[in-house]
Amino acid sequence: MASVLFWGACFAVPLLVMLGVSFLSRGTYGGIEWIWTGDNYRRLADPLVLGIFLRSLAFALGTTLLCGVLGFPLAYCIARSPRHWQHVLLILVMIPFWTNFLVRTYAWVLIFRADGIVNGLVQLLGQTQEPLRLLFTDFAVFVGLVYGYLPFMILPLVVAIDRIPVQIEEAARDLFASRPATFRYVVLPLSQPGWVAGSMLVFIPSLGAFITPYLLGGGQRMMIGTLIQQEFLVARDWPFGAALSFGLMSLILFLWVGMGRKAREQAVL
Amino acid sequence: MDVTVKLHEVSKRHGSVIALDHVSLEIMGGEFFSILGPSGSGKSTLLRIIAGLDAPDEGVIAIQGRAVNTWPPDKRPVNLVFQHYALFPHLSVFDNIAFGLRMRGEPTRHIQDAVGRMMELVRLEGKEGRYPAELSGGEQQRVALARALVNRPVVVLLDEPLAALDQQLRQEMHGELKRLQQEVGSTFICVTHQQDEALMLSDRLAVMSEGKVLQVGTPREIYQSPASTTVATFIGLSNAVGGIFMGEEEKFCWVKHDGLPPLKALTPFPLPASSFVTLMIRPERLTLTVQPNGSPFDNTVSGELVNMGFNGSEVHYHVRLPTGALWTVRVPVAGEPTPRPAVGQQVYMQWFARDGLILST
Repeated sequence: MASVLFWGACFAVPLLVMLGVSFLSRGTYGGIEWIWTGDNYRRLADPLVLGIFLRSLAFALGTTLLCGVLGFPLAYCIARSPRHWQHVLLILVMIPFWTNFLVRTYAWVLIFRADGIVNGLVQLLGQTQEPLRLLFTDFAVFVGLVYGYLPFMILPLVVAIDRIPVQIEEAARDLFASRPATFRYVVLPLSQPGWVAGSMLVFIPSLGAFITPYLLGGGQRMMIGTLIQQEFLVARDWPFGAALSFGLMSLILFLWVGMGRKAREQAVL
Repeated sequence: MDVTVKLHEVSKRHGSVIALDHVSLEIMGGEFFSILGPSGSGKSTLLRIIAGLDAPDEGVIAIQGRAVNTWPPDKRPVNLVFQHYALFPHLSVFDNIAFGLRMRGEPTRHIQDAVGRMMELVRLEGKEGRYPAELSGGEQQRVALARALVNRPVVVLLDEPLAALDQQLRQEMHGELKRLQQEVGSTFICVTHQQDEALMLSDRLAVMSEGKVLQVGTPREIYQSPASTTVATFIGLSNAVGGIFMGEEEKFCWVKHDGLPPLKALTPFPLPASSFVTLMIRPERLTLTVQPNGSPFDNTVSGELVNMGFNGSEVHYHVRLPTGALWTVRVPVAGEPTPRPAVGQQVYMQWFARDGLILST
C-alpha cells in the first residue's frame, strides 16, 4: 500500500501535471497561461518536428542493431568463459557505469575534436593536412549512442546465453551444423529473451537521448530528446515540450506493444 | 568385416588429469561395441574425441580408413546421443529429428519420409508436434536416438544412453537398442558404467580404467577370463582373496592365505611357486550352507553372515570372512539353503576348483 502511494506521488502525479501542461498555452515570457488548447499536439505534425522524430527513430534503430551486432560476440565470449573469468569480464563491462555519463560523453568530445586524439593520430601518420571533421557529425552521435548503451545489450544477452547448455550447441555441431548455422538455428532463437530485453533497453533510451546528440551533435543535428530539452530550457515553451514528450511516449508504447505481439507470434510458431 | 573406427595411441589431458592414456582400439563395421568403465575412466572423453567435440593431444583417429583428426564435428559421418539427450528445446519432435538432414541440405520430400519412418521405428508416431519439455524421459530418449539414427551415420555414439531411465524402462530399451542397431546397420559405440548393460548388449567391449584400456573382448571372454583383478571386480566378480601360489599338481593348484585353508583352483598359466596371486570366485558359483556336509565341493570357507537381500528371483548374502573380506553369494530362490541362515550366524561357502579363477597380482 505504501509503495502504491510512493509510486503515485513520484511517478503518476508529475506525469499528470505534464499531461495537463501539454494542453495549456505558452506565456509571452515563458511560463504557462491557463488557456486550454490542442495546438501543441497539432504542432507535432509540423514537417520539421516529424523529420526530427524520424531521425531519432533511425538513430535508435541503428544504435540497437549495432549494439546487437557488437554485443552478441562479446556476450557469447563472456557467457562461455570459465566462471571466474566471467565475473572479471562482467565487471569490465560495467566499469564505465562508475563514472558519470556526462563525463564519459565529454571524453568522446576530446577524442573527436579537431585537435583531439583521432586527428592527432591521423596527422601523425601524415594522411591529411586538414583535420578530419568528426565532432558535431551524425557519425559522432552514432558512436556516442552505441558506446553509451552497449552494456545494456550485453548484460541481458550474457544471462540468456549462459542459460543455453553447451551440449545443445555441441549437438547441433554433431548434427552437421556449421558454426554459423549453429548460431542461426540454435543460439539466436534460444537467446531470444536476452536480445529482446537488450533491444528494448537500448532502443528506448537512445530514442529519447539528449546528452549525446547535444554534446557530440552540437545541437544542430537534433534528436527528439534534444528538442524536448531545448523547448523546456531554451525556448521556455513548456506546453510544446510536454506535448513532444507525450508524443515520444506514445511512439515507444506503440512500438513496445507491436514488438511484444511479434514476439508472442514467434513463440507460437 | 572392416575396421570402421580406429584409434591409435590416443592421449588426452584435462589440465593435470590424464583422461586418455595411449588408447588404441579397432572397432569393426556393424558392431555393437561398448566401453565399460567407472566414471572418470575417460570413456566419455573417448566418445567426444571420436565425435570431434574434443581434440586429442596425441594419436590418430581414423573413420573408414581416413584420419579425421582435423575434421570438425559437422564433417564427420558420426552422430552422438548425448547423456542428457541435449534436445533442442525450441524445436518440435519432428524438427529435432529433421535437424541433421536439413543441415545437410537434403530435399524436403526426403526429409518428410525419413523422419516419418524413423518416428515409426522408435515408436513416436503422433508426437511430431510435441516439444521436448512435453515428453517423458523415455520419449526424450527415443527422440535423441531418432535424431542420430535418421542420418544413417557410419557410427552412432551413445553416452550412457540408459542412465537417466528407470529400471523397467532400461530393460525395455536393451532390446530396443539391439533391434534399432540391426535395422539401421550402423556401428554402435556405447559408453556405460553398468556391467550388465555392457555384457548384455555388446558384440565386443573394452574395459577402461584411469584412461587406459585394460581388456578388449567379447562379453564371454571378459567375464570368463578377465585379464586383471580390476577388470574382474568391474564386471561383478567381487569375491577375491589374495594369497601365495603354492604350486600345481596336474591341472590344479593351491593358494594359501593366512586364516583360510588352502584353496584349490584351476591353473590358468604357468606361474612360479610362491608368487602372489588373487583367487576370484563368481558370486553365483558359491553355495551357501549352515552345516558343511562332506560334499563334492573342493573348497569350503566359513564366515559370518552380515546381511541378506531378496530381489524376487535371487537371494543375495553378504558374508564376512575371517580375513575381513566381504564376499557376496547369489542363490536362486529355488536353491535357498535349508535351514535358512540367520544374520550373525556362522555360514559356509563352498565351490568347485574349476569355478575359481587365478589372476596374477
